[in-house]
Amino acid sequence: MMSEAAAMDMPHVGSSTGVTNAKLGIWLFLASEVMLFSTLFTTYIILRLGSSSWPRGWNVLNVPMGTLNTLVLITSSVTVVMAYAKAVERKRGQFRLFMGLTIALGVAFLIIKGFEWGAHFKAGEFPSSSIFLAAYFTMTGLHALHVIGGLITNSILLVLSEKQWDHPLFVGRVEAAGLYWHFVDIVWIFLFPALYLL
Amino acid sequence: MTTETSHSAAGHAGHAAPNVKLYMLIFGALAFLTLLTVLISYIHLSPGPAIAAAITIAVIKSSLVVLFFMHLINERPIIYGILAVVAFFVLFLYFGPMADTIATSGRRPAQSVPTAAEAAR
Repeated sequence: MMSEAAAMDMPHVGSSTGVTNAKLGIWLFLASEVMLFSTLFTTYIILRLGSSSWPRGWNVLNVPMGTLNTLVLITSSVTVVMAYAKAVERKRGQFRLFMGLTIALGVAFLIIKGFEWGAHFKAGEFPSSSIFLAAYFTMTGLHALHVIGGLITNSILLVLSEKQWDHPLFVGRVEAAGLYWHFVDIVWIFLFPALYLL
Repeated sequence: MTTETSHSAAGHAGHAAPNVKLYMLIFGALAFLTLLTVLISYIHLSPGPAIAAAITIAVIKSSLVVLFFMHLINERPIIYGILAVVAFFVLFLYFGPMADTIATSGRRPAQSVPTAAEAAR
């Protein structure tokens, strides 16, 4: 079993880097993503410092829903890392369970976020209503797009686990998708207090 | 036994070795810190301490995710190198504009950004 697993994975480890191509690629991609969100955070801070008045997040946004969404996304980070663990342990049924849970939690996050956005639109609050709302819709909207991207990737892996479970690159793909999903979680960890609680 | 050998093989083949017990501990810590962030916000601190508390907790939470869920704690030097470059540019991106904003904040009034209708006029 060990020799099979080792033989299965070894050819895909870069001899000079010691990491798989998938892992190196996803970290480089995440590096560019960090820069993207950093520009938004810096812009947000400068807008806030330069404004004569700025609303406190809890007066404008729904803190309980934001808290619930934070817990949903944190839980999904655990389920996706469990899916990776089960892929490494070659337990397909449990992998599918945890990846399915991750997808379900991602969908739940988007539904909760949809309710929040819907409530704002019903109240006549749009991105053009204020700088704060422009920042809120831009940052949470871009984050939601990333969640959708992660959902698509995770769904593809769930489907591929049926026929490509023994493919030599499968575990690496799961690991890369997991790294991306954790990044999405980290972005929200900063977005939540910055927008809702300050 | 099978699990142990798979872990070992995964760790040597460039994949991070999973640790389920540790994941559960980190999950508990993340949930606790999330609730702590919300509780602190209900104290309604002034902006300075509120920002310091929120950012500190967010950094701790993200560090836990990066180190243990993303396995950065056991990662190869090339990944650390990539992240060091990112950290440099993020800090530059943050402190560059921030230094200008703070340095000039006392010399000019806060400007309001015109709405689209105002700009059209």
